[in-house]
Amino acid sequence: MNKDSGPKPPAGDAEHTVVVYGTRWCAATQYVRRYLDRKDVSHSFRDIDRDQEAADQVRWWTGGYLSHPTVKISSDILVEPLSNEIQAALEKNNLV
Amino acid sequence: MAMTPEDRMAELSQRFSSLEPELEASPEKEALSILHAMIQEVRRDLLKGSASTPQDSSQAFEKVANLYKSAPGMEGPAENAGLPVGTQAPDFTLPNANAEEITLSDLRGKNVVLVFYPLDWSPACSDQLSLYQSELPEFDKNDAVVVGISVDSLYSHGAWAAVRDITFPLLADFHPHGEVSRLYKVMRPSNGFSERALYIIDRQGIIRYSHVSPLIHHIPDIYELFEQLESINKS
Repeated sequence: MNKDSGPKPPAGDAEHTVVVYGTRWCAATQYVRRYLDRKDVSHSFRDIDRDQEAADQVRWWTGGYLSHPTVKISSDILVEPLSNEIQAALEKNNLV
Repeated sequence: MAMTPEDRMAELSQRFSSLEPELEASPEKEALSILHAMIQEVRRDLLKGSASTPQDSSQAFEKVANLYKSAPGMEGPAENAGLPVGTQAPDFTLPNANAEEITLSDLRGKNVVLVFYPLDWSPACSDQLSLYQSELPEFDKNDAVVVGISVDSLYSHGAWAAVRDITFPLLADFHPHGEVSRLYKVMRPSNGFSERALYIIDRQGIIRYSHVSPLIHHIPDIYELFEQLESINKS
């Protein structure tokens, strides 16, 4: 496959292997962001209330639901994950 | 060199993610999206076996602990503005889950994060207080203690704290019903429970931060809360 001609990765995700899609007012989103902070895992946050592109991406992954948080860890998509699911994905991708 | 199954999965997943902007809204797009979501759920089930979940909890306990996930949600705008910053925090005494009387002024000398929340067992509240539980070391670092208050009875607080592993005090503003919530201008007349509201009371008993969630299911931003605590500690 010629990667240069392939589809572009979702905008805004290029700099971070870990991206949290969620809202500022969601406790579970805050929990995930803080969990990653404590693990010292570099990540970005995309606010699906304000970022339509991010919201569309979440709906694409979740069958049309605006599930938050949805966490992208490398190529793994975790929908409303528990902390042990995040931990497993971080370990799998050698991020902790 | 042949790809490993993990690499293959990673490549496929990345390609799938990238295709979203390329497709116009259509039933076909929706069907693909649903299929992806179904695969995620199957994958989650498969991973469950290897994930470290507590094995000693009974099914009944698990069921009760997870009730909040399917409980009816709460919605609605705030009906109160709360007390303003700079106000002397009204003193009060309320029982915790062990029926011990807790008096606010006895906590003088520490920053107190007073968390008014609508009700035990409700979805957003469960997540909010669990978030604070996970952050207790950070609160401690900021010389702050967390105190939860709702109109639930002390027995409800006890059961809820047990299933959620909440160790900070939950105070029962049960009788007279909502008296302290009224004192702090956060009682919702239409519901009989309080707003979701936060106060930071400094070591001298002055309210230094006041936040009433504009919508009741909105949890205050914890990054803002920690910023406020850091700023109070610096001043």
